[in-house]
This record gives sequence, C-alpha cells and structure tokens, in this order.
Amino acid sequence: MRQRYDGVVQMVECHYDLRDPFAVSVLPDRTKIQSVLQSRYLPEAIRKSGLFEEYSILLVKEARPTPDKWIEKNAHALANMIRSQRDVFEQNEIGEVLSSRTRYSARELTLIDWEGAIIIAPGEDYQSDIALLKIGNYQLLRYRMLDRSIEDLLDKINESFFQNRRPRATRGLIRQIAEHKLEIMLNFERAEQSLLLIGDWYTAKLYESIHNEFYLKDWKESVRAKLDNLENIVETIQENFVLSFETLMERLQMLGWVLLLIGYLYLYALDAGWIHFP
Amino acid sequence: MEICYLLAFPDSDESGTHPLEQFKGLKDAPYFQPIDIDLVSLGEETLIIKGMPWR
Repeated sequence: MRQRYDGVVQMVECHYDLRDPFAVSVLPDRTKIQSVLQSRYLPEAIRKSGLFEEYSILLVKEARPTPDKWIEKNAHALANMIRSQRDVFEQNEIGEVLSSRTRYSARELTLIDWEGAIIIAPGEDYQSDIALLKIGNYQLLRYRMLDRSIEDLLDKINESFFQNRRPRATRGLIRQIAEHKLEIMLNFERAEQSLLLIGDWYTAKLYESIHNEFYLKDWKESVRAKLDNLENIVETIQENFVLSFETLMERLQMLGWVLLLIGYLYLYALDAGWIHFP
Repeated sequence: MEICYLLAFPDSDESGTHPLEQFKGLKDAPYFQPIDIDLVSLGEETLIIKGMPWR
C-alpha cells in the first residue's frame, strides 16, 4: 500500500507472512527483501542521500500465556529482530529495547523501539497502531528534511556571501533566501501543529511512546535551534544589505553635490569672465 | 505472524489532483479529528520476492 502524506512524503507499507520469526534465516532474508523493496520504490538519488526512513513491525496474533510473558520468554530473539542484529545483547540492552510497552487490553500490547516494533493483537486489529507508527516515521523524516533544507540554505548563504572574495549581495538573492527561510518556517509549523494526540486515551498514550522512542522532541528542538540561527543570519545579512545600500546612496548623493559644486564654480568663472571662448 | 515493513521518503506532489482522505479507525479516538495530515492513497499491489508474496 502506498500513500502520500501532506503532499511531501511517500509512505510504502508492505506485509508478508512469517512462519518462524526466530529462525536463523529470517534476518538475512529480511535484509535481502528490504533491499529489493528499496530499489523498487526509492528513487536512486534519495537512496544515495540516505534521506529516507525504514521501519519493521512484527505483527503477532497470539502471544501465550500473556503478551508480557511471551516477550520475556523470547526477549533475546525479539531484541535481535527489532534491532536487525545477529550480535548478542547484554541483559540491560535487551531490557532497553523491550521496555516501551503500551497496553490496549490484557491480551493486546504494542512494544515500540526506535528501529522496530511488535504489535500483539488477537483480533489482528493492527491497523490503528500501524497508522500511528507511520505518522511517527513521517514526522521523523519531516524533521530530517527540514534539517537538510536548513543545511542547504546555510551552504548557499556561505557560498554566496563568504566564499566569493567580493560578496554579491543582490536584492534578488536576499529575497530568495528570505523566501526559502519562510518556507522552512511554515513547514516546521506544519510539522508541529498537525497532531492533537493529547490525553489519556489509548492512541494518545501510544503516540507519546512513539514520540519518545523516535526522539521526536530532540529533533524538534534541534531543528528549532537551527531555524533560530538561520533567522539571525538572514537578519544580519538583510541589515548589512540595507547598510551597504544606504552607503551607496550616500556616496551617490555626495557625488551629486560635488558635480553641482563644479557646475556652480564653472558658471561663476564664466560669469566673472575668467574663462574665454575663442 | 507477519512482518510489516514501512518505507518513507520525500516525494512531493505538484499536481494536487488526488482526493484527500482522513485517518480512520484510531482506537479510542475522540469526537474531534486529532490528525490533520493530508492523506492520499497511491494504490496497492502484490509483489513476489524470493517466492514470497508482499502486499
């Protein structure tokens, strides 16, 4: 299933059945299959740039005797599966991977980690939680895209104003930078304000867990700090441009006065008869 | 058991011709629409990779 979010991000959701999730062959097979899916759906330029998000979710219909006990029993294998690793985890690391759990009922549990998740739902009612995980991935990517846009704009400013010996601060270039900055700020606001997942209801609790595990708060703060810096830099450039424009106008005015004075002196000399034309 | 694999990447749509949808079926959802994200479906397909169907 493919969807587009806010006209800026495409989300591909793929499912396949797994007989034994703990088999040794699962990890290499998964890696190969995901690589095939990436080459099918990801444009080459994006694949090379690394500006994309991938996330795996294990969907479990039955976990006996209880979801928590099933997780504890298979803790090591599940931690490896979530982190896509064959290496052996320490006990405390396993605890870290498997710690963030949200329960909808005694038999339904969703475990979130920043690289993968497990949804246990006897009624195979996975879609609500998958939708939230997609939103989390979308937001994470959106922050990364904003971060990249700010970096690109800073590079452009650096190239235009500091790498050239004589900075070419044109009105057009400054307008272009200001417009780009505004676009980034609006995108940031949009990423911020699109969700009202607040409160004690299940979906809000699960979203809070996703928000924490995906470090969305840290991303938001980092992007905000960069945006503030960018704003200061653009303001400084604009002030500088206004100053240099004012200096230019002052010089032109001075030149005008000098020309006027020369003309006046010339007319005075002509009038006094100091200059004679043959 | 099943594996669900998500892949998200930048992909802008200049045309804006697709019909917009809303997120539905959120568990315990309140009376208001809590998610204000423009959602557009781009289709579904089944692929066979390494002999396994991916849908």
